[in-house]
Amino acid sequence: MKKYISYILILAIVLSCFVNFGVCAATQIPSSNQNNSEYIQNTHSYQNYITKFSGLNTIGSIKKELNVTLNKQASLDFTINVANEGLYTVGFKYKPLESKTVNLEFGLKIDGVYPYAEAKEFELPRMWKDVETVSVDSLGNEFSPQQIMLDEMYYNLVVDTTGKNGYEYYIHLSSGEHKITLNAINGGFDIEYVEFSAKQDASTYSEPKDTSKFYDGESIIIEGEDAKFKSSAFLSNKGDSSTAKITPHSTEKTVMNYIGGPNWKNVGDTIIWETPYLKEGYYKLSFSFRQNTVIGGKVYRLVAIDGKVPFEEAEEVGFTYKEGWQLTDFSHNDNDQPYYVYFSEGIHEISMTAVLGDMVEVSKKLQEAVIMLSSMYLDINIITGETVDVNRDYNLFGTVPDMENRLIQIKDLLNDSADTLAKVTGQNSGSNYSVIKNMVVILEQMLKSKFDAHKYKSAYYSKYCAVSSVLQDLNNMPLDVDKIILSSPNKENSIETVGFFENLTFSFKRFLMTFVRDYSSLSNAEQGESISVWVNWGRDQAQVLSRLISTHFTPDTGIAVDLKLVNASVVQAVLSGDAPDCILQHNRSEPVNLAMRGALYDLKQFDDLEEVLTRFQPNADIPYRYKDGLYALPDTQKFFVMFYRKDILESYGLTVPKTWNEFDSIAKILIRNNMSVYLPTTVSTSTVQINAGVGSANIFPTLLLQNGVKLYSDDGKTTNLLSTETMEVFKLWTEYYSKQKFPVSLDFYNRFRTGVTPIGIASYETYSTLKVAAPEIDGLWGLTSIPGTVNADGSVSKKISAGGTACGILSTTSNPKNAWEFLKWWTSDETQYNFSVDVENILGTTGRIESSNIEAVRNLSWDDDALDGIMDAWENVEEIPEYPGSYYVTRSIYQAFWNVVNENKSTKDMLMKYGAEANAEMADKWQQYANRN
Amino acid sequence: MKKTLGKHKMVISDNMAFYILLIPFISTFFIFNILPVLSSMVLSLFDYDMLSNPIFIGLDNYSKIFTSDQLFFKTLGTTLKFAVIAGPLGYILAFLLAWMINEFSKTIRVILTFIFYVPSLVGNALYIWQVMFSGDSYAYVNNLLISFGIITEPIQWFQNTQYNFTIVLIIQLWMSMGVSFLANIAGLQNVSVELYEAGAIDGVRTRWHELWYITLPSMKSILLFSAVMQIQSVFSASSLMETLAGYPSVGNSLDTLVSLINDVGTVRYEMGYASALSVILFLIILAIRYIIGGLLTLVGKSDN
Repeated sequence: MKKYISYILILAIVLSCFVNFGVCAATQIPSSNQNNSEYIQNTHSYQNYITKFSGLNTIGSIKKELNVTLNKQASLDFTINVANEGLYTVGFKYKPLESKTVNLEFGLKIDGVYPYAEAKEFELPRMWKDVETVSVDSLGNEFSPQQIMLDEMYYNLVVDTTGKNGYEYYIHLSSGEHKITLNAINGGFDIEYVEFSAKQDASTYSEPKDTSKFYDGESIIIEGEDAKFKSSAFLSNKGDSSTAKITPHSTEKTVMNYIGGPNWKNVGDTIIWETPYLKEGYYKLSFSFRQNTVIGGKVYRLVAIDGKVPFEEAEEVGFTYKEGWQLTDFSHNDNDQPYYVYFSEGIHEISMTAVLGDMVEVSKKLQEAVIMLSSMYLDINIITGETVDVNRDYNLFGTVPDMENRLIQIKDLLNDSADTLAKVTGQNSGSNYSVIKNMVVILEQMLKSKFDAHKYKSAYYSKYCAVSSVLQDLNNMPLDVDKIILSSPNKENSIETVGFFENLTFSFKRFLMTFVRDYSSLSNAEQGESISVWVNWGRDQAQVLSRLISTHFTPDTGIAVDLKLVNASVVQAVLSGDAPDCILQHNRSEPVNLAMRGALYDLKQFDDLEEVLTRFQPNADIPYRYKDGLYALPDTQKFFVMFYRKDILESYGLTVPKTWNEFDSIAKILIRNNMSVYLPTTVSTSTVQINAGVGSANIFPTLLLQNGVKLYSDDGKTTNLLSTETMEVFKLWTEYYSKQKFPVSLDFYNRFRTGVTPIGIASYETYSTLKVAAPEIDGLWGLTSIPGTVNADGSVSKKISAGGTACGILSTTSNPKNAWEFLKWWTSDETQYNFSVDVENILGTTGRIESSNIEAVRNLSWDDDALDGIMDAWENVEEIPEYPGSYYVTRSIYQAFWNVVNENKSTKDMLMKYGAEANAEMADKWQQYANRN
Repeated sequence: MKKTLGKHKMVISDNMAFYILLIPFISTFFIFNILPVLSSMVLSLFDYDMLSNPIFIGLDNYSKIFTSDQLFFKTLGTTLKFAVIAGPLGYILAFLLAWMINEFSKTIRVILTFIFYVPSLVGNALYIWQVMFSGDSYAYVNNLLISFGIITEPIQWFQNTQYNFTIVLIIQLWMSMGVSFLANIAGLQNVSVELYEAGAIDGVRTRWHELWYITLPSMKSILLFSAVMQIQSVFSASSLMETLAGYPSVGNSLDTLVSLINDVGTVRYEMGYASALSVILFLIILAIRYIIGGLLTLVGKSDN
């Protein structure tokens, strides 16, 4: 008996081994690693290229007059004759064709081939300057002036905006004739000439011998905010009124007294100042600046005079960390001996460009590590799936290709970068340092206990996310500049500094002023024609609007605007009898709610309404119609697009889905490989969110539109939720979650960035987040219109429902004409564009407004591909009308959805139950308001 | 009869100064507390959407509440269930903790008081619960349970009617160490030491005896105060639930009467109906207050 039992046991063990092997073999589908890294690290990298030709010494330059226009997406060929073989920089004298905030992008081929991968996407900045009109509001407060693009030819070198490859890009040209091809990717530009200059290394600093040439006079002060040009529209003046240490300062008014801020952080961002007429001689260069972001570390700037670096040390001028403002001479790192910079007689340009400096090495290694961490994570994920079963033996080291070596390699890279970081910052306790070290600990644990490696997956994930954000931090080089001082080398101090007591007095005066100043009123409406406008925004946005009003609206129309920042509902305003004339960015369902109660002014009474409506998507105004009237204009509109990871789809041989059928089959393949797809759902909902409009909460309304089912009956008196067609679409939608097990709740941004969710549908504003906060996947992802439904006749319906806000006029207004003028101005191309750019200027790209004005959105800084995707999707947007009581529909859908997905209740029962509730509410409201108005 | 009236008159004129000093308080109390209660009683008889003129409809709002509004009974049920569990539990917990902490030396007492009071001091602290119980599979609780192999798929804690009530209950208890807890501590310290000494002489044997016959009776007014605060806090826990589970919550499982009133009034623009609902809520709270007052008179009474 015992014998038989042991036979059975052995058999069972052997069998289970086979089963395990089977599982392993089945999951060993193509490793994403190889394809993935190939996508990122082209064999023709610039690094290899430059080392290959580093020995060459060249002289001279080649200048090619072109005088042509290179339109976007077009290409241009020309030939040059090279006398001396060598490495050359590439410089252009050019002018962009249109004013946009994104850099020009183009590819450069030599004799038909790209010399290296980076040459596919060379960048040239657009140059900007302050608008000349006075930037003071009606209360006497200064604000940062609007930026306008420089409308003249200017010269710039092609530089590396990632900072990883040094400053300028070089190309190798052998002697003889070459054909150069330029193809514009993003934006077109006029080219006057191209210049290829020989590579020349700046010499190191040497102490000037001739002390008689030392400048000996009063210190010359160049205020930071007086910058002449800048390479980005986001580099504008700022004000810090908290201290008397910087100039100018005022206790009563807001003054602009420095330049830079968090927007001056990207490598290649340049600000150029002009000196007054200088005498020939050597000057001591000092900076009054603030660097309070890179704790323990330094921020680097390349300082150039008239476009040339005076000596090698000026290529990486470091600015140390301190909470407040500092005054430092440009001096030797070790002995603080100031450098003396030579200026010839005349007016000169001083420029400061953000560079990575000593951080290059750390950043390069860390980037490499992050890319490897990412592909390793995907490979582990393929084996374990998203939820790891700790009790199972995955044998990760046996199934993931080359796992041990890769882990060791990553570990070494991380250790290296952490050590370099510690050396550069001079401390090994900073938070960035410990984040990297934490990742190393996890990797060591995995290497130590190989059979338990899968248990560390979630720790790996969270640490890996932390490391990628460190990478992003390291590449940020923000700096504030108050003033640049040129002074005599013979003087000890370049300027007198403000003492402690002087600063204290200043602070106290400012404190006293807070009792006098009215902070809620953003502009003073003078006597005469004026309207009042309420906004319920952040202070920054409101201030931008206030600025635009005082520089554009009031001067143009003569109508003064009393702009108030309030946190109250319109109903409260009407009740108190102190209602404004206009409201901006109102919730989706409010206009109809207010209109049915007679609180809004019918915009159809204005003759030019039709003309104004052409600014928007053709049916953007549908949700704001009630009976025969139109009660608001859309001011923001957002809709879904599909985001996809090019690299991951490619490694599985998948193409971007155009229809839901294709999407389903891709989803199946991805899920089989333990990845996931994302369809938007609103999980944690506040009343505000749920009333933001039925179209933006999830894709159910979109699916209804695509299947040709209307959500409401034609007269708007009831919903169609109880119809069989709706039932079918509802079933289709909920089955994505209940049958196909799409996750109902996930952090799409992080999953997308790690590649675990390589395809997903989200509102198009996600573009900004990904663009700004996920630099490591730059170029690896795209966005396009969402999948469509194939109709019976074979055509594809790609309709998308949308959400958004609106602006309207209250019926209590005493001056509807002026209010209408204001609304027209507010929704105009120019205002919407300026508003969005100015808000971005303050809050960064993530502060972008999803304007409803198509032209305004088109002009913002998008990659051309992304813009095409957004515009394509926008054309297919179809708005769903709002009716009395229709806010209840969003809730009903939400209730039915969760009851089906979470509680496994029947789709039919739930839709019936909650559909009936919505119908009852609508009927109730219609009945109540049938006889009013 | 005459005599008493005259006496009253005399009292008022005698204490004129005090009445005058009371005027600022009484008037603000009347304007901001009594008047809104009265006006909502009046408004409950109207159909009023805040923008058009109110229309008198008599008791229609009330008859609608009791005859056709399913949400009213559902939310009333949730509110009462929540109040009955979280109210006494939080109340007893607050007292017991205060009683225990009171035994420590001064420094430790101050530190502990601070630790327990902090959650109600920083109102937004409940967001950490939102993060912990997020539905993402990488969220803390889900991830922990998954890594122990207890669950295989992430649970949508606040969208799942099986769990959401319990979780919110726990969070409410965590947060309820607020004013009533502080008041209890203050009350405990006011109990005179002589009483305990006298009690010890008169035959108090155990700490429980001491608590029941001396401590509790001498802080009765504080107990009533903290009970009222407790009632108020459990009935107004709606904001907590709205933040965590949203409004409406799945299957209306976590919707309270207060959030219903908010919704009816501000989103559905039915201020008259909302007023009627709040009048009912007002009466319920009033009733409960008297029940508790009655119960508290039993404190300190011996069985015989």
